[in-house]
Amino acid sequence: MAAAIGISVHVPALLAHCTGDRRELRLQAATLGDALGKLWASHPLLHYHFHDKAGGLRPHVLIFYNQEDIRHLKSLDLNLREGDSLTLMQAVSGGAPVHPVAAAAPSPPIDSPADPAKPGSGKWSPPP
Amino acid sequence: MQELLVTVGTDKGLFLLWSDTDRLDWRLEGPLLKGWKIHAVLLDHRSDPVLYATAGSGIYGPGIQVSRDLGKTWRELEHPPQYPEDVPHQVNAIWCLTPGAAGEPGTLYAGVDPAGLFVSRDGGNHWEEMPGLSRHPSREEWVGGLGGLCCHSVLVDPENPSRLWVGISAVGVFRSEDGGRTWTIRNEGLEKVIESKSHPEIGVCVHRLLLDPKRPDRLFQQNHRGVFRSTDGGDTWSRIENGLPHRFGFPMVLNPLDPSHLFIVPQESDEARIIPDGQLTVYRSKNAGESWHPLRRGLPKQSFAGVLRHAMGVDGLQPCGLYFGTTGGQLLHSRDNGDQWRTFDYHLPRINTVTAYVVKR
Repeated sequence: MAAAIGISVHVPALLAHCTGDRRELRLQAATLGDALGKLWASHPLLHYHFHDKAGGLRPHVLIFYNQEDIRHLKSLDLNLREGDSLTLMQAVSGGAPVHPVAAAAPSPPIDSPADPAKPGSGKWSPPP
Repeated sequence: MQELLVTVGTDKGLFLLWSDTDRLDWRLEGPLLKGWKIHAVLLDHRSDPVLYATAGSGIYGPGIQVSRDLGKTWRELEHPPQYPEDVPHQVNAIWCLTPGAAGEPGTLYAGVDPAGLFVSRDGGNHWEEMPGLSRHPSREEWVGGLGGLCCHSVLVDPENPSRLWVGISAVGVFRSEDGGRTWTIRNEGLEKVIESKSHPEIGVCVHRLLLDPKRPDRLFQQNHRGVFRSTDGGDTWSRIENGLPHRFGFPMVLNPLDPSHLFIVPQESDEARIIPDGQLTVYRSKNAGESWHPLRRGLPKQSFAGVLRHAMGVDGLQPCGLYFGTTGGQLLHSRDNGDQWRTFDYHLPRINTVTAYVVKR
């Protein structure tokens, strides 16, 4: 079993009240799935605002594991490494021009902007 | 010492205005809950004052924020209203919060979208769906209006807390005689906007529903198709439109000290939904709707922004103070029962809800 690693978690400003008014948290976890489980368990309001009633991610939220949208990962059973981070954010869905930083980023996590209802769709904002 | 608190819920947060009871000099606080869309605000006086605000987001869903120090600090409730697993929809917005009767200090009702009613018996910490309404036999044909399928008005009979009414856009009025367990449709006399196949008694678009606190058999409503009154607890409705230039509109308030005094802001047609000729006008009735008269003194000469259903409040002082906000972010008030109006200097985000309270400090 992999050793627990300390990672940082970035929280959107609108939801900072769910984490004691902190925009950045530190978590100890061995895998990505483990980290998310600990994050939701320790901050139930954050979990509520990121998930629908059935437990899926709300349509217009994004979670990045480093530069990867976790919706595009095949598995959350990934061993964490020093320097890893999780970034929680809202999708900027539909209509807005691509942010120049986003346009320059490798493998931008963009689905079809024409389908705002599709989970994970829309253009993205750069991580804070 | 008494102070006046006016709460203004906008698309981008909550603003609080404070004044002494002369209502001449005001102090603005906010935005509080910055970035959240505020649908409803309630100051619950039944025990120690608690300020509630329903704060939602199209991205993060709806929630309820609570302040026990009149807006200085807030805490979000961890278990907001949500439909049980066996119900195929989830709560998108919390449109109204209504306190239970005076003798039920922990009881709160929440009207939500998609339309349903929830009750809390512990001041909002936990909520239960009232399935007699949200699983009513007519539910299969409920269709939302432009604002969604929203339960926006919840009324409690002050003399009989088991008697409740709700107003649901594009569906109609429902009444319960057993504390919300069962509900009957109460739309007789109202004009329909939608024809239903199996449940012909629904399809009525109530925009705002009010109860006369001194005569709880008397109700009023601003409806999509006009302005109506019931004197038999909602069993039947009659038009009260004498003197009105237009039937359409959203907000409606009454003076709690003299509930025969009603106030509305008509708009031009359900298609245009605009202030007629830019002549923003409050209409007042002093005889429970028998006749209406325009009030324009001090109101802007050219103002086309509308007034949403919850964006008008009264303060319960004598003379009656009135407050309303527009979709353009203007905030206006009168301290003499509507005879003279003043526009505040603020330009706020789109205003969804305005309430006013006398607060003892």
